[in-house]
Formats: sequence, structure tokens, C-alpha cells
Amino acid sequence: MMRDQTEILAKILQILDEVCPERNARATRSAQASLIDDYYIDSLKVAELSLLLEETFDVSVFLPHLIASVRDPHELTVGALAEFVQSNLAESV
Amino acid sequence: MLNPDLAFASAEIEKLLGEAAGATWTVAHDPLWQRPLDIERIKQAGAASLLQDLPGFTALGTTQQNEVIYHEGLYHLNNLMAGEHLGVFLAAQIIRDCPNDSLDCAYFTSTVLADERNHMLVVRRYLREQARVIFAPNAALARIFDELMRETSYEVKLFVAQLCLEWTAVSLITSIQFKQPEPLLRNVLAAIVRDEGRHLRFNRWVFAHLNNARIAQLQPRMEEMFFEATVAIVASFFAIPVWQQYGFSPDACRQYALRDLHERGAMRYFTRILPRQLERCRFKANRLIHLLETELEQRVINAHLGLQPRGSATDIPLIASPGAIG
Repeated sequence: MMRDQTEILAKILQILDEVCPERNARATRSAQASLIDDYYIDSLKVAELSLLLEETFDVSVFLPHLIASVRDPHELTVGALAEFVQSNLAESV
Repeated sequence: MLNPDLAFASAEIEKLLGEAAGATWTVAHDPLWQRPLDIERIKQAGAASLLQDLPGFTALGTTQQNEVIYHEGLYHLNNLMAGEHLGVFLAAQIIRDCPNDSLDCAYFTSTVLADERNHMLVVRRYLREQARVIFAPNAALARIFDELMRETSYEVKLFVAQLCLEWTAVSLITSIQFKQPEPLLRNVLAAIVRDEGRHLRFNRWVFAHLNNARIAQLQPRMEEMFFEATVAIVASFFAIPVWQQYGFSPDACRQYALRDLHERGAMRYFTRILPRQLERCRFKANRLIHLLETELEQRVINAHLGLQPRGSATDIPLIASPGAIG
């Protein structure tokens, strides 16, 4: 089972490439990238991303939980998503 | 039958149950309930409608377009409320029918029941006191709810209600918050989502522990009900009662809404991605995917032609004022 933050981040960036083929041309492919402003995540992509993350990390990932936890969803970054997945992995042990 | 050991088979479920029991439900006391909705702010949110290319819709001014979109959102919230209401009764049936050789399933489902009750009541209050708009639930959804209540397998009830219908509804509706910064609704949905995260972990546990013989036994019914639930989900995107209120023809709306769902990738999601929920629970999905690819669209159209009342908005009191709510 994957635990390393760097490995989780790399895998998430790969999944985002698959779910969100159109990306803000000025955005860097990094932990700092914004899910909404750079990856153009919408409601369908949230649902798809949740499923793909579950399959990849073999842990329950309910992305709306992450979205609901922040005051402004525009602040959600790829790095925050990686931390969320890592905390779900830790809880499932 | 009382099990004298009263044990949990899973430490994970026991911990999750502890979390559920300790979770506080404070949204009912949110001070924002005392403030009227900032309708003008809501109407500037800029979300998209499935009718965005319909000539009658594009002819409207921005304020009117946003008003339609706002009511579409309320229609979806009404459907969510209906699903939460059903969830209470389904949870009661699951507690009755699930294995009772350990505490896990029945006891955790008792928290699901309480959560669904809280969700239903808070969404109902929001719609009645704040938005002051009530719609009848989508007819295709109402039909699948009836069918689930008659279903004999607790596993099918759990899977279809929680992982197919509710997971999808909450995922899609919560994400609307991206563009809908109404603070009270955001707080209500955040409270619901927090509980749903626990339900998801429980559901995954149940299906990870079914034996292969039971999986094989449930396979045909699971695919059949998943298909019917997907038809109902897609059909419920069509906010025809709202569109009728604004005088749009249901036939034209169906045509443009379907086109828009294809363009947004929604039909691909429902035919190729959502069935993977079944595979996550160790069921096969090949037959289901074929069925969805070949029949989903026509079944969605039929669902509306067969179940939705037709006629002008003035003929049908689909939107009731709070005073008319029973």
C-alpha cells in the first residue's frame, strides 16, 4: 500500500491528467496547482476523481468531504488533495 | 435474537460507530437560519443550466437565466430530500434484515438511520423556511424508491440506495457549491457530506466481507437495480417542473438537455465510470455497461414520457407556496 507523500502526489497528478485533460496552460503540474482554477474540476469530475482515487489507493475517498471542509473551494490544491488521501490511508490501517 | 457476546467483528466499524455517536449535529442551530437568503447574490452565482443552448433560454436576460438555474438547484435539493427520507425507512429494513451474529451491520446502520433523518429534516427546513419552494420528487426517482422498499436483499438496498443514488447525488450537489456560495446551504451540505464519508467507509466494509457465493447470487439483481437507479438519476437531471414554470416545452427541453449532458461528458460518466462502483464491490459490470450504453438514453426519455405529467405550467401545481405545504 502506498504511503509516501511524494508517491501519492505523483499518482494523483497522473490521475488528474486522465480526468482533466484540459488544464490551464499557465498552471504548473505541481502540489500548488488549484483543482478548480487550474484543473477546471466540476461536479462530474469530482465524482469521477473520487472513484479513480479509490481504485488506485484502495481506500474510501469521498472528495465532497474535502470540498466541504474548506471555506472557499477555489483554495483547494493538488497538495491538499494528496494530504486528504494520505489521511484516509492512515485511518484505514 | 440477543447475542450474549455483543461483539463487533470489525475494529474499524466499531471505531467508525464511535465517531458517528460522538459527531455533533450543530447545523440546525446555525445563526444563518435567522437571516433571509441573499437571493441577489445567489442569482449572480453563474452556474450553468442544461438548457443553456435552448433558444428560449438564451433569449432570457442574465437575471432571469440565473433565476431558472437557482430553481433547478432547488429542484435537485428536493430530490435529495426525498432520497434522505427514503434512506430512513431503508435503514430500518436493513437493520431488520442484515446478519445479527455481530453488532457491526445493525448498529452502524442505526447511525445511518439517524443521519438520514437529520439530513432530511435539515434540507426540508431549508426548502420550507429559507427557499420557500417545494417540488414533488422526480417520478423516475420515486419509482426506484418504491422498488427498493420492496427489494428483499439488504445488500441490494444498501448498495443501490447508498453507493449508487446517494453517493452520486451528494457528489454532484455538493460540487455545485463551487459556484453557489450561499453560506447556509453550504453549511447544510457540509454537515451532510461529513456523515456520508462515514457511510461510504461502512458500505465498502460490508461488500468487502461478502463471500463469493453471495456475490454470485446477487449479481443479476444488483446489475438490474443499478441500471434502473442510473436511469432514475439521469432522468432526475431534467428539471421539467421548473422548465414548465418558465413556459419551455418539455420536448425541446429534453432534446437540448440530453445534448448538453453528452457535451459535458455526463453520459460517458454514467455509462463508463459510475458502473465501476459495482466493480469496487467485487461485482462484474460488463453486462451493465452494455445495457447502459445501448439503452440508457432511450429509457431516460421513456421515463419522462411515461411518468411526467404533460401540460403547461399553469395546469400543474408542481411548485407550491409554503402556505400550501401540508
